[in-house]
Amino acid sequence: MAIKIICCKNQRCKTDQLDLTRLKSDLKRPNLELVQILDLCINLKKINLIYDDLVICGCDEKVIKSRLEVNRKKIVFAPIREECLWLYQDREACYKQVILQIKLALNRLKFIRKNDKEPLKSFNEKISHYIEIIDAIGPNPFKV
Amino acid sequence: MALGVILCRCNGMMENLDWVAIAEFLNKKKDVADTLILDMACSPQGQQDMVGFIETRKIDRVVAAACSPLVKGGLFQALAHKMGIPNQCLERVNIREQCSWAIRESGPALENAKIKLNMALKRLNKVKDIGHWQLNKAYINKLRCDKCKRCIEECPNEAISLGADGFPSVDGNKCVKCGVCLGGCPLGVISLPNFRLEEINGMIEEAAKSKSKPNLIGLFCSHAYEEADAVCAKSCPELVNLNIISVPCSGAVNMTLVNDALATGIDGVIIAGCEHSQCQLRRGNDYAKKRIANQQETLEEMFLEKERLIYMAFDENYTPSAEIDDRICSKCGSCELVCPFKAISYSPQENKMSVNPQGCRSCGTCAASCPAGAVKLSEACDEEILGAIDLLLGEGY
Repeated sequence: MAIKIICCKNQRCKTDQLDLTRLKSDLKRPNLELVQILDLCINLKKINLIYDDLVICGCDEKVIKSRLEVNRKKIVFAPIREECLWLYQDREACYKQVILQIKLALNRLKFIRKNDKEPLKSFNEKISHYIEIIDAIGPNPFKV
Repeated sequence: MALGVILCRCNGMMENLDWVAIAEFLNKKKDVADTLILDMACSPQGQQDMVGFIETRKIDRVVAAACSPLVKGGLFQALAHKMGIPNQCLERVNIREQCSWAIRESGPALENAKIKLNMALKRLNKVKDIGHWQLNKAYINKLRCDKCKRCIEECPNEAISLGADGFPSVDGNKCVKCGVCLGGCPLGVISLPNFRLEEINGMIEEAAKSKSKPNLIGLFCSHAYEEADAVCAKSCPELVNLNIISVPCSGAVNMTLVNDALATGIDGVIIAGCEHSQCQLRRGNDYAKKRIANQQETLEEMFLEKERLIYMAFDENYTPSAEIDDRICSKCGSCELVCPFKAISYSPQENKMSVNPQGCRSCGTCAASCPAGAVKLSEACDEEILGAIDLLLGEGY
């Protein structure tokens, strides 16, 4: 199955400094495709439309993972922003670290299972049910 | 005292919040020395700006309104540490997951953000520097303690013993700061480095001023808080009615907090934690449930409905669970013994070890302890780690 490597492009994250041409030639494999998306964090809908397995190069997974539709495909994050671009002053050392992070992410992608668990949405249900209960019994009489 | 507020816009991810209105709201506050609005507080530039802000304005108490404390919270803690600000003088406000993302409409989201900021400001105003934050363990105020010894009986880690002076004494090496002692103390004289009843009371007072009906308060353990974050990321409009306060463990909620919340006009109190026997900090949820049952009886004696106080466990099921390969498993039971969440058990009907998917949190303890290598995790396995090592060695590491 094809794998798409999604690279975020953002000035503040310094991901715009990535040499994409060099990255493309260094990661040249038959089933890999490199795609750059501008401001990924505010354009997540584009990711949700892709059905291939993904390696997302940009911020740490905690930043956006919870907003992604993960059930249909395997998604792995290469946190190049926190682990490379914000750490290294030397561009060449930084690039080497980026390549390493992407390769490690590709290695992870080989072994992870698809997360087929559907969230139960029990949080929303339980809270709205409780709100109904409190609505039914009325406001707290101590409330002035 | 100089209180500064740092607002992070998270690179435009909170587009539904009116930042000008929030800044104006904070500028009107007498106790706020200054406000700093950043596009990305976690970036190197953002961190430099925060250091400059704290230094030039001589800030000694910080409200950081940004993403969830479970996402980049450590960054603000590191900043506070670097600037010599005690941890208790830093309050992180989750305006991203539990405000902007949960409530999509800008008007209610703004109101909710204001309440959350008010709660944080109130908490920081109530902080007293009695130095106990340096101890890094539960602190017992001996001047008010009546030596009832309940904390000694209830501490799940046996970290509290009777001291030579007749007062309880906390062993810092055993104390995990779960707060079960604090939750059970009838006089409320115990506090944790980052969790004092007076401060939480102050937050509840502010939450009570919310105009939403009904007005609920949630005291969520860190696991339930994480579940709430995961759900809120994909919208949860119910949070207009519910203000969530993070507590170390559901067992850390003292019932005086519940009484005070109801006395200030809160319509309902939710204490959220883990399911039975899954408490990572050991038995805190069991204590919480017992105390809630007792408190519900007290509420009925006061002619208040017992439903106004409730315990919830969400089991949101968002973490992929471990899988056991039956072909390899010898049913030795090692995984069942080591699972900290009691999520693995032997099923006699199916004659196999089975994993409760809601209970499993993918910690991997079972996988590491399985002598046959029959337990597989979805996000980590030996082959992956070996592959990564090969890769690193190949790259010259």
